[in-house]
Amino acid sequence: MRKVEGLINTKRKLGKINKEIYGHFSEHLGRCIYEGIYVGEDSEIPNTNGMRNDVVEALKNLELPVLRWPGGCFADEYHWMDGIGPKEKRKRMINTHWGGVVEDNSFGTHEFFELCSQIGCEPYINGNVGSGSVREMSEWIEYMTFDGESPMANLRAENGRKEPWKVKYFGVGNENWGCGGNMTPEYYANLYRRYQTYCRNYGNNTLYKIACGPDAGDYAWTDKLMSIIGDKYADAISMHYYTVPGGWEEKGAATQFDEKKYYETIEATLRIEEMIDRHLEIMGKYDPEHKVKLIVDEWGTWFKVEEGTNPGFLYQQNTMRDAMVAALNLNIFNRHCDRIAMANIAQVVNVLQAVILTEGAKIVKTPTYYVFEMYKRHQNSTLVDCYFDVPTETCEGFEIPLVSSSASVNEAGELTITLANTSLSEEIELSTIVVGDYSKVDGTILTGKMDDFNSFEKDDVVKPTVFAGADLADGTLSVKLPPCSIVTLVVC
Amino acid sequence: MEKQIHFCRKCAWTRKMLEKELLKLQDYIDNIPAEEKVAEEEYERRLLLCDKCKELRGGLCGQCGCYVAVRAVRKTGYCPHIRAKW
Repeated sequence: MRKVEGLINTKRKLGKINKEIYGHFSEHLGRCIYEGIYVGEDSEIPNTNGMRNDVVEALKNLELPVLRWPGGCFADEYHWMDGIGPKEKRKRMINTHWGGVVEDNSFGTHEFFELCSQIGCEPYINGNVGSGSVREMSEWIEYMTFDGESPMANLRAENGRKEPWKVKYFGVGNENWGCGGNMTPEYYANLYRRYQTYCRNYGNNTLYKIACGPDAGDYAWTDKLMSIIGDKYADAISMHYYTVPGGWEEKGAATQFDEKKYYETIEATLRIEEMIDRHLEIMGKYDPEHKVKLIVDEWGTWFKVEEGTNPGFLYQQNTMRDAMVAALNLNIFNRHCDRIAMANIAQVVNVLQAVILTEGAKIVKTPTYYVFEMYKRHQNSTLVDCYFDVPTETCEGFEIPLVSSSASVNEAGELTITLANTSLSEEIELSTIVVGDYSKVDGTILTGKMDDFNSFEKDDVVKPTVFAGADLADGTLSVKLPPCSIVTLVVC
Repeated sequence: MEKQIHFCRKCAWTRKMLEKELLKLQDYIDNIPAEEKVAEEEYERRLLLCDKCKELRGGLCGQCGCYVAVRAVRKTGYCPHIRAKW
């Protein structure tokens, strides 16, 4: 057993953990929107206005705060007018990029707002810069948010919605360094300034404008973008980073991997922290008051698709390894909450590191789902100082910190601590002084073999259970973390 | 500044790569042990039912995203439709 000491000081408050850090992403890709979320009003699968009841219920339970749509890559070829009006008249097209499936546009703007309403989350709309026009983007915002007499507001009313919707988060383009137009940062930054000029605030709706930021460690993009947009034109810039252990060809399967691949995955996912720090440092050069926030609106694991499934659908299973990746990333985002305004795991259902998998009428909650459930208490809480003297171990050739943590205090004064033991072999005994007036601790644990997963045949292999390995006495909290485990403690 | 290799989902899947994956599919079916496969007649029966199903799109089952040629070949396979066809 490894002993680790720490200090949690609830008197040292470090910032608000925006609930949007626990955000999700839904794209017209594979079976994320169609079948995963939207089955249509006539489906035999129980639904409300076409949205699967089981999926909506599961997402409500997560208190899902914000949902990004329609992409992703799809956003920069999405023409929103294709997805409004009578469904039988909407354009049908073959999605040649994603396996030749039919995109019938039956899920469009109205349906997305209906979904957000059912879940109770904020919409995050991603506009089209790559293949769209300034006018198209401007009119979409008018369509969604203008209250009163205007061509787009009238069109919205004709389509059954008189009242405008509230739209806060609006992305101006996606991955414009790649699928969103293969632009240079100079070109995109100037386009961004132009497009965002016509993203108007109508009535009392105020947009939170998001510029396309860097891919992973592309610091040159951040530098050039920020040098051109400065601190006046955007509320945030986005960043994407996928955990692809060993690179594209060697990333391996989601469920069949050895300990070396596990540790390679952990090392790969932890690289995000250095990227975040370096991007924030560059942003600070042009925005010393830190007005412009960072949004990590695509993150998560990327493995080989499940055998026998369309490779373009990016459908992968999800194990304890994925849960560990989620736990580590969410702790990192919490710890950077002063400058990270939002994060969106890719993607919510059936694509990449999904929290939910569906097959016909069946649904499975993945290990990643349970991490979001265990961490939801952090939403809108205040980050407090949480330090552990974390040991680093060489595991299968990779340098791995064995403990990840973050802590927050909610309005009721309750302290939430989230912990992860990345080791596959060592139990870790944490001993930490807790500064604050606390007397009781309750815990929940998610643990298992690194490759345990939930399937449609057996959906409860990995699920949270009551954790009895924590004790609070005389201001000292003692915790025994089993190998490959994630723990949430509530101290009050 | 280090060289950056951009990585996006769409660029990662060119048509050529998709075709390569489809070729691998037949290899995959061929390599499934005979004892795990259904009899040829049952396989054909299942695929005929898939052929008539409105969920079939380009060889894929819309309910699960699987190539039906793979899904139908295993003894453990089942139709994922709410009204299972086989």
